[in-house]
Amino acid sequence: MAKKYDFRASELPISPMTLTTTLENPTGGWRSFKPVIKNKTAPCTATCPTKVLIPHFIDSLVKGDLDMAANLLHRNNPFPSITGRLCHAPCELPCNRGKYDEPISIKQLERFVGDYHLDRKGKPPRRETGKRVAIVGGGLAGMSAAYYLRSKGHEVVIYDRNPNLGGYLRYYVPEYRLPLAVLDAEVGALERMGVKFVLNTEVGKDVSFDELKEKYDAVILAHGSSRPYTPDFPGVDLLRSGWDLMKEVREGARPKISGRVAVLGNGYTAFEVARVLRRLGADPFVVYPTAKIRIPFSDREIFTLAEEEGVKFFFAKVPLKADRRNGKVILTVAEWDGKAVVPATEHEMEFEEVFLAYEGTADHGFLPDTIRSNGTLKADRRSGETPLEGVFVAGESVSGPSPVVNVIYSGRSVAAAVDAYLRGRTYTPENMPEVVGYERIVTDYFPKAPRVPEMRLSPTERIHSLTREEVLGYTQELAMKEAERCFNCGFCNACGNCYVFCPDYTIKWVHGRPKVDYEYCKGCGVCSEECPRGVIDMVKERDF
Amino acid sequence: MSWAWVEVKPNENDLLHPGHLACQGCGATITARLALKVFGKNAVFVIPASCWSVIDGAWPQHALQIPVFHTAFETAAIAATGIRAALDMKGRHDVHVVAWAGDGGTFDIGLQALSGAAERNENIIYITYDNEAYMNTGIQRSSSTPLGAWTTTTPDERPEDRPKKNMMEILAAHRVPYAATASIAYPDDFIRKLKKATQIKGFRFIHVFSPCPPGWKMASNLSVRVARMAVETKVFPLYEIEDGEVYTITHWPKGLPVEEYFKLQGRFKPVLKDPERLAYVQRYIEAQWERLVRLHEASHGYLPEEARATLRSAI
Repeated sequence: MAKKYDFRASELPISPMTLTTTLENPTGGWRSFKPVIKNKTAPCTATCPTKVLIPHFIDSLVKGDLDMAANLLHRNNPFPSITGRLCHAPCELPCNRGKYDEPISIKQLERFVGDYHLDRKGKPPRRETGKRVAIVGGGLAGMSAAYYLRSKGHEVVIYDRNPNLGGYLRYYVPEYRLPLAVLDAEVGALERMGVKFVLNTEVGKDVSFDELKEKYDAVILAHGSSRPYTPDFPGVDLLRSGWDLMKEVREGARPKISGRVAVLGNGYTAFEVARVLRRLGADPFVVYPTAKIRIPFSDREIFTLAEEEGVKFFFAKVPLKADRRNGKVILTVAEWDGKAVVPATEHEMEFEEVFLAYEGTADHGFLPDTIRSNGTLKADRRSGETPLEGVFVAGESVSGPSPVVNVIYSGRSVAAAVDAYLRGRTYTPENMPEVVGYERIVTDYFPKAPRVPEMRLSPTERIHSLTREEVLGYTQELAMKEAERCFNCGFCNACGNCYVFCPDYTIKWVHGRPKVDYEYCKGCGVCSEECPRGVIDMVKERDF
Repeated sequence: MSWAWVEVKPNENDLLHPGHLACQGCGATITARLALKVFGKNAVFVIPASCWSVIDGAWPQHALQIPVFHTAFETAAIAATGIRAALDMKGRHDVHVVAWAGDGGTFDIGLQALSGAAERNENIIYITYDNEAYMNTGIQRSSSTPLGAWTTTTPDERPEDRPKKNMMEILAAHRVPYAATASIAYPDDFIRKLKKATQIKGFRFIHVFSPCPPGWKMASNLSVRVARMAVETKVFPLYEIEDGEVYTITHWPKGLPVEEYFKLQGRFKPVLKDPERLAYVQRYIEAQWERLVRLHEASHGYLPEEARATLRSAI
């Protein structure tokens, strides 16, 4: 309310002078809509299976705070150095910048921040809860769950049958894709956090599942789909295992293979085995069951790489029979229409060797019947809860072969469910606020700039080395240049446009962030219109 | 476009109090806020009859936290001259005297006082916030109203048929040390020009494009966007003239078609409905722009790379 002024004539000044400011007019009453500053979800974060806070960490990177960037990145992704190399980057597809010029190279930025933080991470938790969790299987899902449970303060013990952690990534993925040093550093970080490893111990053989269940407050089954699938057709025992070949090569062996070789498979492993064979000097052909356009998006990148390197493909074909004649393998294949073999399309092909490289399947043999049904596990896909109390399932053991980032998310969400269970709370899956579309971005504020290309070796360089990393990371300079292109959709990075353009000075700048003074805000909406990244919404307050 | 933060410092010289009486989305208040960020407390505003004499508040309230002298419509420049002389007598050479007038008080009613002050090269800063009509009295046409615009005195049946008066040319003809155009949508450019003006002695003129949502028949949230489109469509180029001779274009626009600017506002509806008139307006804007670019070229001897794309003859 405005103050009442009551002057006697003798008190009035000679000329009219102002005595007070307009702060006495609470002009907020003029308003029908009010601006609300609210962070939203960027399309990249919404698409990322593990919901990495992409605009947040890129903003810290732009501001030069690499440690903050790493903290924000690790909040939802414990192993950015691994995803920065192996992820199929679904986040880059819906990038709003892609509708303007080119999408942000999120994967490379993730790798840069991850590599920067690799030797710094691994701090033990501040407080111990005294609860104990056993994780069966030290693959990516188990490592991811261990990272989050340990950072919540639980005691975590990983059981693995192999002499070291990492599973498929350690024993099969070739050196040129994921250097062992990176994986060792990630495992070292877990060790520094205080995660305990029980290695060379197979659950079901060296230690029984019931014993684990008794000794620990919760058990996470993350044994993965580690048993290579072998199809059933005559002569399959004449063929060699691509999995064994990858394992040998990862361990340093360089078997001599030359001439036409075939790789039978249905996914990532088939492409990777073919690429390894190409590097060993052979001329590989991949026999793939679906058409070229049906290759899933998660395998597109590796397919393109393989094609560049000279790997050849037979699409929509399945093997029917294998035979060995004159030291060569005769493979009978037929067309496959997705459901059945097309009649009268059988024909023979001659190869030096044929490798089986089908995706793995899970081996649930050590588990009790109560949580098994028809070779799969009875478990919730998100929280991993099973009918047995305190037993959770994570990763490929329940989902089947999946991209790395999905496996990481599975470990993370199950860790959250286990944490809730151990603290006696109910697990609520995280939900994402509204996604910011391209129409909310004010592109006038962003000059056009091409994407900083990732430095990848040429196909000829690639096929000459089994150890040299095929994609080189960004330098700090390039990473900064790329990060500056980001729109930071839905994330207030304190650019100050709302403060500068507010006609009423009702958007105050408090502790480096905008804050609306609703007592005076007239609700014009300039801040909402000029926010380059769609953070400010106009919310209807009253009818008019 | 660069970020607002380049020149603007947060929480520094926020000398405009909220609660003032401007309409929602007023461009003139953004102009005043940004200007005060540069002048700070060391300024006196002289405000003739205009929107700002209302915006500042009814007695005894006052939105600007600096001395303001309200004066008659035609006397902004001469009143500022008098205050300047008085301050000089008192030895207050550090205080900027700013004549703060609307387009009516500059282009029409205050023109002779302005011309006199400019000719005598009085040591004042004259800022006109241009909303292209007499908005305060009910949207009557002024000589700043652009070609094709609706006002209450140039209704839809007979929209404005004369182009906007070129105030910058008039000031240039007075050979004043500094004259510049600015827009609220480019705060860094505006603040840079103000800083430059404060360092020059003599008559300085800044023409600021300040949209008026009610008078231009548009939503209040569009005011900054409209100001940006006016620059990008070459309707309101950003340039400065030093000593009446040296022309410098400070922002090279994208050169969008003029419809992009017109379609945001209701006042250009008659032009948008009439393709012939629209083509005429576009031709006029292109000709004006080309003239300005040639003046820039004549002043500097060359044209930067971005200039080529904006010229019709180059397309």
